[in-house]
Amino acid sequence: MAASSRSRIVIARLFSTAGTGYAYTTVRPRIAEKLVLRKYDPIVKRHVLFRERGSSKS
Amino acid sequence: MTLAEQQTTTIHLITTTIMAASSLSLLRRKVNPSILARFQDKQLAATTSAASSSSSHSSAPSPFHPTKSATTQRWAPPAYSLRRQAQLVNEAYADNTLSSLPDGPKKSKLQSRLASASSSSFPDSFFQRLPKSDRKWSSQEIRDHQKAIIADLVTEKGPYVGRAQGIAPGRILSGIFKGRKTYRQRPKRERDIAENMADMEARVKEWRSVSRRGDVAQR
Repeated sequence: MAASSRSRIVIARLFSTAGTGYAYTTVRPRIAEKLVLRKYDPIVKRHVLFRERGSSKS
Repeated sequence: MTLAEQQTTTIHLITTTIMAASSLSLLRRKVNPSILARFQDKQLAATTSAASSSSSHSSAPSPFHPTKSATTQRWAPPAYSLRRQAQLVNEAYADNTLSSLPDGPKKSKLQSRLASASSSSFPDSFFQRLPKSDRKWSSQEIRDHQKAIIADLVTEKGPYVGRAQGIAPGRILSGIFKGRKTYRQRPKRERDIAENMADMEARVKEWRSVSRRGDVAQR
């Protein structure tokens, strides 16, 4: 069986820094930094910062 | 028949009648034996024998409490187990003869339950509709009305301090005793979110100044 190779792309889950628990899911290259984006949080009904959290899945 | 023979026959008839009656009552008891009746018979026999004997004991030990032996200093369990005591207490309560039973843990427990039940029952206002008015009550007003009633039921002691006693009827108030977990945690959660949102503007500004994506987003 061939040795498993790490994927070039990882799945990133971005959680709201407002603490609501709302999250967005996207992809990024493995070598890139963790994502921090400004996106809409429907629970507080405002645009807030979303920060990638946890181990990234390949 | 001589007079003596007549008297003998009469006495024999009376004795036979008494015996028949007692055996009939015994038969009735056997057919429908009441636990309480058997207990009362035993207690009566015990008190009668205690009264007739020349014992120095002023009062017989309660059959519902453990007894300590004077010679061996060991505790003997009560003559009636807690299960049997509960049966006796329930029958006595149904017969309205609870006061005739000796004191015991099950009797005192029932008495305290009866006392607390009468004081903490649902108020009549709980089941009454809202006062009539020319307009329709809003759901918020109905909830406030019911919350005010529930506030009276909140207990201040025991393991459930701060919670309303009993489960309230109605969909709005279901689960009021402990409440839903999300509702219990909601105040803290809202405080945390408000705290995070207080400095969100500053954090977004900082992110825009540092991040390349922030620069892109500002265009």
